[in-house]
Amino acid sequence: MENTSAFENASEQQIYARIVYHMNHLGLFVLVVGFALYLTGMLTPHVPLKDLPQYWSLPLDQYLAKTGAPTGWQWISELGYGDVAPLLGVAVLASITLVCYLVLFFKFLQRGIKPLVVITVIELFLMLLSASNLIQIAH
Amino acid sequence: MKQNILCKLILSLTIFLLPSILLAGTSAEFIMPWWGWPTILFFTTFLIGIFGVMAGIGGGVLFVPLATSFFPFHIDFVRGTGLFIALGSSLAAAPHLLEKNLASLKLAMPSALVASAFAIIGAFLGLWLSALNPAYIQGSLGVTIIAIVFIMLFAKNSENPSVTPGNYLTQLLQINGIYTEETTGKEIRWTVHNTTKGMLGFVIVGLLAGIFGLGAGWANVAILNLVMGAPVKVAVATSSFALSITDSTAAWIYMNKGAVLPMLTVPSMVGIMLGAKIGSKLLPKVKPSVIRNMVIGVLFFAGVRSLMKAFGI
Repeated sequence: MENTSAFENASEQQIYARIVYHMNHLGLFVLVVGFALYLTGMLTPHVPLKDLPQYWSLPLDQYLAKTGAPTGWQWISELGYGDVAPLLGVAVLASITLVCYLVLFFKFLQRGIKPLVVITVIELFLMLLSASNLIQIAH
Repeated sequence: MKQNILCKLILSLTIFLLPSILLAGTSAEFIMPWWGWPTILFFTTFLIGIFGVMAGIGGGVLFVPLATSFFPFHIDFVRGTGLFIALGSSLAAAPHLLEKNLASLKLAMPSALVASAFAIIGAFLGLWLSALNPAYIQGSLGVTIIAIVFIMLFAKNSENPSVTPGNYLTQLLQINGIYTEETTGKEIRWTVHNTTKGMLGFVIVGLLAGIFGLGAGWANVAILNLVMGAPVKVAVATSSFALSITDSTAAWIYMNKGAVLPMLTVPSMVGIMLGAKIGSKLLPKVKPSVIRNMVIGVLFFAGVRSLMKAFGI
């Protein structure tokens, strides 16, 4: 294991910063394009724009039952709907940390910094678990 | 000159928008075209972005209580949007903070691990409580916001706390770093202590982020600086960066459950990012303490309103 006990910053910070910078710009671009397609009516939404105020004050379960909006990973197959298209940008933004941690995992493994490898693996597991939609709660 | 005009413009916009937001939020009869509320939301988040930066707090902590108290949107969608606001702001700030070595990866990783594990639990707890009765969430949000107001009033950060070296967890995880203090050009070497106690604090941070969609930057800074002894600049920057890790896990849960409504999320994210850019430019021109007190006042008001809404008042 490399001796990193002296005061120093993790060299991986710079790579992490570059990934976040580029993916954030990509995510925002996809988000705004998706939203523009929704607003201009180029993609038809599940809920017509003029009817939206009737639904946004409803509790989540009622909103989903009345609108048929997607849950879990259904959104991928429904990207042709205006109110689903912006979710692609949202997903890119939510995935940035996951991509960064995958890179960190290989970098820390290469340098043999075991405690940080363990932290990276647990964090990746938590992120994949929450993204997988495998955990459910009973009402 | 240009910044003076901008200041006046923002103030006029605030004065113009505030009464309509406050009155509209209390009136069920208020009728608006479909684009009315998203437009007001955009300008509100734009102002939150400006004042949030100038007051030194994240946007999520202002957004969630204001949007649940004064907008017609259900609290489930507001919390989902709040998480993405905090995530977006954190991702925008992270590259600069990491490159300057103000944010520390080694400090953020263990803190964010604890917080994100509990953010998952918090997200499910929040959605479950809300399904039982939204008033539970509304009421506990009010109590939490009022508690935050008191923490912000009384917690005084320490610029360079003295740290007792030799903490086992700190050494194991090699939590230390160096940054250059731009005002003096000096290299500051830092480490932390009380790491186990600090990690326990992040349990609460994670739960609050998950339950309410709050960024919880106000709590991160207090733990990193006052409990663990990180220099205040490192604490603020690492807190801002660590939110992108913590909120990613909770954000996926809200998205999978269908609680991310693009008509709320996109205008809010764009509004807050534009506002934060202007806020950072105006920062040298204003007295942060005045803005901070103003924001604390607004937060207190929103907390009380949230409590009143929970009791149906």
